[in-house]
Amino acid sequence: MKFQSLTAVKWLSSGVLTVVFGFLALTAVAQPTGAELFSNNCAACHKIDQDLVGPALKGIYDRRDEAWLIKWIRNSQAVIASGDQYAVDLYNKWNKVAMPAYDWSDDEIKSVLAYVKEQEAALATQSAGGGDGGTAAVAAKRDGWGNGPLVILTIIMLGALLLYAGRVVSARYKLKGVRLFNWNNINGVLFIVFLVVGMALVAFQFLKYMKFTLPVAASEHGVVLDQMLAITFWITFVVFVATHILLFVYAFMYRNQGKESKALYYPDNHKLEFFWTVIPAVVLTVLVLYGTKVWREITQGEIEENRVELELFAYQFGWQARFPGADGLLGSHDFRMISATNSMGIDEMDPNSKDDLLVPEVYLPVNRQVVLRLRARDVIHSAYLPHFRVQMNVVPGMPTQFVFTPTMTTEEMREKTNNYNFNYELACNKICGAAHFNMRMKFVVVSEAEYEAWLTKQRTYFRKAEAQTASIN
Amino acid sequence: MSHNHEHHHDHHQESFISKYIFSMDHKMIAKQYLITGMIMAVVAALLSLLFRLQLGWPEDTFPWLESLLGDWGKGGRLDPNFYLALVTMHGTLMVFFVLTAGLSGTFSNLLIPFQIGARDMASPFMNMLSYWLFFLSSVIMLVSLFVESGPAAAGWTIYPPLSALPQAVPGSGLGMTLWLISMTLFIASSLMGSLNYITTILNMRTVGMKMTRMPLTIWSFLTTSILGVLSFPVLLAAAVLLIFDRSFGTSFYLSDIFIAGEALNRQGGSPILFQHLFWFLGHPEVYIVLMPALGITSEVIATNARKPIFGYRAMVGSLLGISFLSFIVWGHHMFVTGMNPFLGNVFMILTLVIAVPSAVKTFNYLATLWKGNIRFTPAMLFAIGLVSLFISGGLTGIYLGNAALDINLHDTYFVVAHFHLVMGSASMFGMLAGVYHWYPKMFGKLMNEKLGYLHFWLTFAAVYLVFFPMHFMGLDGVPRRYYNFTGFEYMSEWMDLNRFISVSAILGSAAQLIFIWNFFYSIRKGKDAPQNPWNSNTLEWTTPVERIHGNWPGEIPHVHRWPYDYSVPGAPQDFIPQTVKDDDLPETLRAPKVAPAPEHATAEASTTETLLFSRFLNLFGLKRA
Repeated sequence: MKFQSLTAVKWLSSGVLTVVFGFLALTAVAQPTGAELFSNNCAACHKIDQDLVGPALKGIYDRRDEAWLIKWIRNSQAVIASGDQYAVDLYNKWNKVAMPAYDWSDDEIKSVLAYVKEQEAALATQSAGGGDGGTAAVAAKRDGWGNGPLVILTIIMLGALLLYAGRVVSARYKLKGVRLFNWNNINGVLFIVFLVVGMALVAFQFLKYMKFTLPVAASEHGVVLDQMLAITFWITFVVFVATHILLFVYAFMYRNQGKESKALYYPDNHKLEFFWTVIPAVVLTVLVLYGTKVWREITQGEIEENRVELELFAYQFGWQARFPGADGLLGSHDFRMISATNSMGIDEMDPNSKDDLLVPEVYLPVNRQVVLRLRARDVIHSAYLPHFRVQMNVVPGMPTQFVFTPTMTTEEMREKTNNYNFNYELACNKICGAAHFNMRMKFVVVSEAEYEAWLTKQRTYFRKAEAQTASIN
Repeated sequence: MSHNHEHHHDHHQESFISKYIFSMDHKMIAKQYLITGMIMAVVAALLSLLFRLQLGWPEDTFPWLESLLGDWGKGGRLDPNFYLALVTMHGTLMVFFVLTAGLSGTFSNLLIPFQIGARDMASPFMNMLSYWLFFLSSVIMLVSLFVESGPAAAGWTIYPPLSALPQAVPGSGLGMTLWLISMTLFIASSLMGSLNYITTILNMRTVGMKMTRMPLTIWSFLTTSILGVLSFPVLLAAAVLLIFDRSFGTSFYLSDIFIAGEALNRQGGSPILFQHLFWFLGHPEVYIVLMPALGITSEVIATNARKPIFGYRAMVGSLLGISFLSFIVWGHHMFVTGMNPFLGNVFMILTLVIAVPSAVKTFNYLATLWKGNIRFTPAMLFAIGLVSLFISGGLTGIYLGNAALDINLHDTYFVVAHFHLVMGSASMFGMLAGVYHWYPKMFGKLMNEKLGYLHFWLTFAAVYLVFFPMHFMGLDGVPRRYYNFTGFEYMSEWMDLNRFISVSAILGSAAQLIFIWNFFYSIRKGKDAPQNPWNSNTLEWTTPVERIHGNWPGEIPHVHRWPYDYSVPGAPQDFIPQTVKDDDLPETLRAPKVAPAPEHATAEASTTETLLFSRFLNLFGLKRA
């Protein structure tokens, strides 16, 4: 009896725990709102009011009923396979691009649909010009080019007028035998004007735009890269300014100024040429040696024991990420296993796959080496994380990798840049099709503890299998 | 070489078709290339304006786009697929059709026979064939703009699998097929042209026109043609393999692909293989585009600074050096493709070496201007502009050639800025300089100089306003070929700058209308050109203004000196044409020239460096004593 009740308690408690944890896990994952789900999953291919890879979602409610939409979003390929005529037509019309299957609950799907409806309404009020005036973009939309064409037209007409006036005046002076304009002088002076104004504009651009460029590197090798960038910049900038001053000043100084101007017959000077062959060669040698050293360190550096490994999987048009589970090993994969429900082609028979974690966004612990393993499904993509100074192409049929160590958490970067919306983002940087510009994934760098906490919240690839093992225990 | 054709070429009657259409005269073929190139340039520029419109005003709608483009501009917005097609076609047309065929085709054809003293090309028939293949390929490329699934949209580098699979992007359907057919014809045309140029230069020089007396234009056309002959076939191979992958189910470039709901039965290929083949042409191609422009600039600067080009031998040497090196640097386009990092090291070293001959060229241009007596013709303005752009764009090559820095700059707007300055605009400036300079030789008329000045200053300013700010976007990690930048927070702050760039691009393009008007107006109404309008030394200015068949009415002139005897002290004029014998010069000039130097005053090999160089030339049989 005692024994029995104990077992019962054990059973009961484990059951409760499973339910509680299961619920917690579910809520942790099920938290994202319709807006988040939309921007993380749908926005790569769909816009509200414009066709992209898939159709504009405006009026989706009127086109199909909710039950159909839920079926479709969960597994569009199944709907097509069932012979649904609308689905087949849709698939064919949109270039047979299969929409990924989303393993979402009814509520999640409804929240996405609600978000679409909400956005549609917002757009409607914007285009009606109502509401609180809208954003600058809305104002610009109504203005189109504004008075740009008018300005251009005015410039052209003024130019024509000036030209005409110049012709009339110079023709009159020609009659008197006087050349009004010495064009050789004018062009010579214009080179000096160009030099001065040009250099001023260069300075202005540096002042204005350098602060928009990437902030301090958030990775170990990135800091080294930035140093090299700075050295290269100062060398090239000095050459840029010096040679341009020489070029334009010579053009001005040695312009023909009438009959008495003479050029110097000076066809060669081997010493000079030797000098300006050797100097660039020496400078470049220094840069090359430095460059090869850094390049070797980045690409052939040591792989550390306590690294974080993850797989990034690129497809038209989005990213998926997979962390190895507790075993630290990623399950094997095969592109022939890709299906609507197994979008990464993970080998389900491989025991290593079981605890792999599929995550919607990537969390990384700060100051730990990260090994990105890169794989593509269809065409070449490129994993570009500019804030970490990371880029590597993702090539179908040829796994690639990149190793780096993040050194700043997202929070630190937000403080550093004084921008509290800042997020590390992964972009695609190899032309890959219509929504190339829209392949995003959020990267979050956190402390070790936060990372571990986040990991435990992620669902494993085989939830079912996991649940089974849990119930057996 | 000196065969004197006794019959008069200009006497026999030519029909309209054989004179203007299927002409075998190098001058007419040059003009055909130029006009075709200009049409392609206008189309390519208009395409770029369409996508600049999208980048400058991504949130706006332009109803006229729908009327113009139909489905590609639905709702007054550019379709993202069509945006990529625009980018692709802009690049293809500009790089191949304008700056390769338009530039080389025009000036190699026009100047090679003229400047080496030949009556025509080695094979006038092949020359004609070369143009008509180019014409056909241009037509096919333009036709591809009108197919339903759109023109090629995989970028001008057409990397597979994107270019191999119609499922990946609609442009990879019929559009890509036409692109490949067009490029195949283009390559055939280019090879015929190049072989002809090389043969003509090596075999048909007039008496006294030693290799070391050739103008730098001819040297640049020679090296360009050699590059073309050696590298274009590799692109042809790449294209043929791609055609096989697309149409016959092979897998040279394809492996492990799942697309449009199915796993393709293609395995074992490598997309990277295509990139190696493509860039084996692609990198020399950059110099195929640039070197003729540098040659033209050398000639224009020397003539208008009234000074010998500084360091003729170094200029030739740097052309040869650049040509050689350009074959072994292609990997710098592939640092982040996953290529073996060791190769990255090799290619970085070789790439940065190529900066040395480029630097030599720049300094030699500066030294030529120094203490010159500069005449600012429109051609001279564009030549000086080229030097400026060559410096600005060349220096950023030092960043991109560095594999480590390339990690973060690869495929960003920094690259866009770099190659548009150094390859795009610089070559375009060389081409414009050439048109202004040799217009009298083509049409017997002068272009309006003042409109030329206006054209230059507007263009020069616009080029810098458009491309210089792009460096900053690149330093912010803004990727190229993006349909808009509103999706990413860190990119969206460039909105205003993008609009500014678009406005500058529109104004800069409008300025080209001045040139086009000037060009066509002057053909009929321009001032008649004198025989030698720029007081130049080279042989083409000894031909009559009327441009007769066979170039010279009588015997082909003999050459007695190098082409850069400008402002020789003691000479009666500030130029001594190549045809002038030493005996015809004042006594004082004869003595020092004859005694120590075989070619010109300072040709004596006084240092080990020049000695080595002349031995190097001897190796190629280039220096005949």
